[in-house]
Amino acid sequence: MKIKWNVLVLFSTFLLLTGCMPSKSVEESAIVQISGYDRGGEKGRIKGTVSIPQYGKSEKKTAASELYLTVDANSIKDVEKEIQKQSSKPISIGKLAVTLYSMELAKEGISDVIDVLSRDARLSRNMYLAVVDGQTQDLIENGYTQDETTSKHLQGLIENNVHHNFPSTSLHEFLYAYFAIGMDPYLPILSKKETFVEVSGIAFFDKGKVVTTLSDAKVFTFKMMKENFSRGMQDLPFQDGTIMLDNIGSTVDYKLTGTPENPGVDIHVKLESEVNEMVGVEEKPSPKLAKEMEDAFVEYFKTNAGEMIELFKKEGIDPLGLGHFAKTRTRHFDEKRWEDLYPDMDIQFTVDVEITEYGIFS
Amino acid sequence: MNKLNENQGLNISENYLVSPFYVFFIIFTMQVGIGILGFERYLVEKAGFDAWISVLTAGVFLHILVWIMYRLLQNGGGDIVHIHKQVFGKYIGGFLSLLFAAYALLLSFDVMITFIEVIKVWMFPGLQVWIFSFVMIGLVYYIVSGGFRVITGIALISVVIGLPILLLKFFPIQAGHTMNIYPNINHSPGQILAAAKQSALSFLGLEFLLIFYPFIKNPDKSKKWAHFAVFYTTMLYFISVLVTFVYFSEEQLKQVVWGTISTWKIVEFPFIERFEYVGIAMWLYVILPNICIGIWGATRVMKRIFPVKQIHFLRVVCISLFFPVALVAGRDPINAINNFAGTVGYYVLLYIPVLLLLKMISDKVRKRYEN
Amino acid sequence: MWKWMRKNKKKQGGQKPSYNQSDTLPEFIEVLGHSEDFIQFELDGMTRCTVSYLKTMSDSKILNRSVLTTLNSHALHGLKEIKETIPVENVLITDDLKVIQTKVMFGYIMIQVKSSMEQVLLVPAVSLESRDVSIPEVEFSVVGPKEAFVETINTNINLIRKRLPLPQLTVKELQVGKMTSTRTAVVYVDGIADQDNVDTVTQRLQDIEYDQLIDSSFITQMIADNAHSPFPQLLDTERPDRVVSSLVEGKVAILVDGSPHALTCPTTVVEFFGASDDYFLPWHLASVFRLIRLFAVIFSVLSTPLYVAVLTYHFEMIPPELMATIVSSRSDIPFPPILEVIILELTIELLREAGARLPTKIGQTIGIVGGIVIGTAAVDAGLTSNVLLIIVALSALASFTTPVYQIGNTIRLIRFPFLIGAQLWGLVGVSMCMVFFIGHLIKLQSIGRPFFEPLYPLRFKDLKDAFIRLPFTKQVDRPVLMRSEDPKRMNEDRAKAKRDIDE
Repeated sequence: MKIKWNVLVLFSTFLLLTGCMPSKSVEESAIVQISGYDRGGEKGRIKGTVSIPQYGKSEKKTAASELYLTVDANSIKDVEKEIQKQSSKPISIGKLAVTLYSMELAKEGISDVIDVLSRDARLSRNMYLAVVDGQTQDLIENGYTQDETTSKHLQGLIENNVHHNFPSTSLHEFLYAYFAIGMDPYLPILSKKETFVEVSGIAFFDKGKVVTTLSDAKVFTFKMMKENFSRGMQDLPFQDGTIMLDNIGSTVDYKLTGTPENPGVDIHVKLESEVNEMVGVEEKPSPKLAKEMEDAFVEYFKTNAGEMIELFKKEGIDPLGLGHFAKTRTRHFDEKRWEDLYPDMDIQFTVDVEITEYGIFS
Repeated sequence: MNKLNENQGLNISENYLVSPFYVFFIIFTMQVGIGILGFERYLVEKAGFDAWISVLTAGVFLHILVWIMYRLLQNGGGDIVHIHKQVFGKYIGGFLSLLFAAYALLLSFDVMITFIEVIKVWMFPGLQVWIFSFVMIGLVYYIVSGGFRVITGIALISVVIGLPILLLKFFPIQAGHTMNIYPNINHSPGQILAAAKQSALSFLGLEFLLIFYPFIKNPDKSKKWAHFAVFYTTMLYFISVLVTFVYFSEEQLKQVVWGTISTWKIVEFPFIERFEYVGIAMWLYVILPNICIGIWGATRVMKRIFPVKQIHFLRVVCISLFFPVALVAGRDPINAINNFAGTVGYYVLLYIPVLLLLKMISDKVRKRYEN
Repeated sequence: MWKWMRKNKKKQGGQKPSYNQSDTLPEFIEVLGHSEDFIQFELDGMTRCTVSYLKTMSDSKILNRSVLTTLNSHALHGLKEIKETIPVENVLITDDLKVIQTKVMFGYIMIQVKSSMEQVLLVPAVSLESRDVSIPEVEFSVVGPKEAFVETINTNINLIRKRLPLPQLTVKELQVGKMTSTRTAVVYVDGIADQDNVDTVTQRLQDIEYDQLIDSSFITQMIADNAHSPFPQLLDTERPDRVVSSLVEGKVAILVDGSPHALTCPTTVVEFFGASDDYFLPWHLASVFRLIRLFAVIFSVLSTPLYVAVLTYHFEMIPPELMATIVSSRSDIPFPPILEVIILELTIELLREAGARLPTKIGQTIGIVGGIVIGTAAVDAGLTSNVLLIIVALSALASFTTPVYQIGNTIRLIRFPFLIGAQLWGLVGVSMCMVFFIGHLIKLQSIGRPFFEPLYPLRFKDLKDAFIRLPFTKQVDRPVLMRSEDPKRMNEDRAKAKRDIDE
């Protein structure tokens, strides 16, 4: 009995001495929350920028200061290594919330970046990716508000817009579309205006490369075609003024039409909405006016959608995931054939707009 | 039941018996182990998104297997050692029982190294496996030395603690693409059966009923609980498969090594994010009964064959497991061991019906001989 | 432990069981004669006899009024006559040296006559000094009875009996402790308590081999099934009402002379988190409070280990909103989280120990001063973060919510293994510690009954009064754990008979 206890005590001492994992507690690590990648100086090199929030023990904790580090490296993983060289604390990328790519880089392809992102167990799947119109370094180092870090600001910016006009996006959804058959990913475009940043459109990828973009005016239509949602606004010139449509709830429905040899897709959207702003419209709201407005919107959406579908066909991309949809509706789906047929496929878009309210003043 | 008593070691004192109700927990916890964290990928490789059919098919087979095992045990009375002895005689039977014990150890070993691998990949790349496995085996030793009742208790707690983790499935469903599971049947029956075989590997653990059967009070009443456990496991796997299918696209899932853990990553609460850390830590509760029952079963079989105290076997087994557990590292060897354990388990499952057949024949022969 | 003691006893075999045994009566008197308070004098009046007693133990009123007056006013010959004449109850004549010795030591007056030196007459004149029954201090409750046990076993049994006037309430007395010969009573309701439990308890008490028994907590440790466990396996209470309700459930109570606590067994771990208040409040309120208490205990044990685990290894888990708060509060702390936590935990333990040792009024002051001054100073000095200060203070507070003091100590202690686990392998380490303790609890038994009941073995019937307390109408059966000989508390049909509207 006695010997046993001795062994136990000895062992636990040993355990305590050696068992601890090499660790750095939270304040001793540099927690990278945002990273951006630009094309580097020489060809094939990548310039990486990260921002590390500095939490000081100050009275006003809201004031955020950040440390920006920029390095020139060979590859994405190399960026981490190079940044380590400049940092006084070990770099931790576990809390990375936003990753940005410059348009330049994105056009050349970011497949290897994606690979790193999907492999690393430390990263969050809810991270936002975005393409930047211009240099990511400028965007990150700008500093937008007094009381928010850049990463928090950008995270909030994307999150807020995803709740409104922009289609949902995250690392997971990007990877989902990236790997799925018959589906291509897209990312929001951020661009820097003077002192602020705005979400200015959507970049469409073919595999890892940006092939085309969509301006923010048409994003509402794209989101409507892509997913069910219940917020967002769309303006439209009407008569002599502008009307603003508030989405209450829209549902989208895909239907496979045609024959297996010559398939087509019907996209049908039902949009319930209210019109809260009628600037420059003289007429009093009436069922007749509502009908007119509905027609105007239907017309507008149809044109927009038609253009968009043509664009997708031309580029050979499928951000809506029609192929992915068709795959779930067809036995023994032939991916190759679908891609061959896609440019000339019969894709119909129909929309029902219903305006139910005009606000509390008429 | 008189037959039982003449066989030494089989008449277990009332104090150490467990109610039939607990068979549910033991079988359930034995079946749900480390496999559920990443089995989806292997199924998808075989049968794509039709693999959910395979899971259900495997479930049906397992129900039949439970029925077979009860037939075997009810007629034979006692456990696998006893049956082996009856059918094959003392030496061959004993040898086969030892093989079974080795298989039990293999399962425990497999679960242990896979869990350590998960911790290394997801939490601590620099884990000192020596110390960790020492503590883990110490824990197992502590529990197993408490006997079958304590193991059953741990199994019960493991099920109770594991339940809330199931609720987390809600998060990936929210983010999911429900149409993914269509179209219904896109693969040939051969592929689906292959995936069914693959999923049967995750279901392993059922066969321990052959060892702990004598520990059940009123074993006849435990039948329904065993079936219920298999049903529940099947449903759990079925739901897990559906959720991962909804959450990932098919090609994406093929690249994801630990599907279920990946779905935990998106769980967010106002006070906590990144639930995979909690999930993996909680998973210790789920796998610990697996290891314990495996080691307990193996030592129990040895005790039944050799006239040595079980505690001595337990010590030997724990020490001899420690070194391989601490030494095996890396994805490839662990995958190889996983596959090997799976294949062996598959044959063990196949062997059970054969055993029933042999048993029936030997009974008939014996009867004729006696007459 | 008691197994070990039993083994020892077997080894000793025929040895004399007790130290304080003299061989002959004169020898005994001689030994006593060394003490100044032993009085022996001869009466030469009407009755000729020798009176001896312990001055400090005997009641001089009885001696002067009843014994001496009788002896002096009557001419009595022989012990029999004296016995018949003395107006005191329970006078006995004996020649059993063992009895004589015990009785005299308790304060009996011994009377000897010349004619028969072997036999003596023993007159009970015990003077008992005891504290008055006061309000419970450890297990205080706002509503409900406010009597607590005192140090006298007779008073304590009286407190129980008056609440349970049943002839079946059985009190068995034993003397435990080789030198102290402490009176120990095993109390149970015959016909409700399982005879096995009573036998186990009696057996174990008889097997105790120790020279002293100062308090009931000695018994808790000595007859525990696993003496190395940090968990108390007998429930210790100072409330007679709680003991009575345990007795009615079919438990066995142990009372020790000189200890203001009673022990009840078999007990379960959940019982330690139930307060008597729970039965004085409506059932839903009581249930909620019980759950809060349970949560408090879990919080108390796990909060600081989780702090260490998350801050050291898993800071990805901290949501960004909290990140700024935590990091900025920790930014100037020179120690890693584990050291910070241990320092603060030890400080709190220090305050607690100091508070417990000091007189009540000073103790309170120390608690407040220590808490506020040291805490603020430590944060200001940058030795601990204020987030941690909040967590530690809360967890200390939470550990006070346990109604039974003994388990509170356990909770204080088991936090430290968890801390070590957290430092070793983060959340996995915490998990491992938890599994160990759950395994330990499953292994534990309270006088042979599972300690982790009703969780394992899972007994739904007993869950009615475990984490939640269902209304009294639902508590039809006595707990299964007790294996009561009369499992029904009441007539279920009559209790559940429902009236129709307007009847």
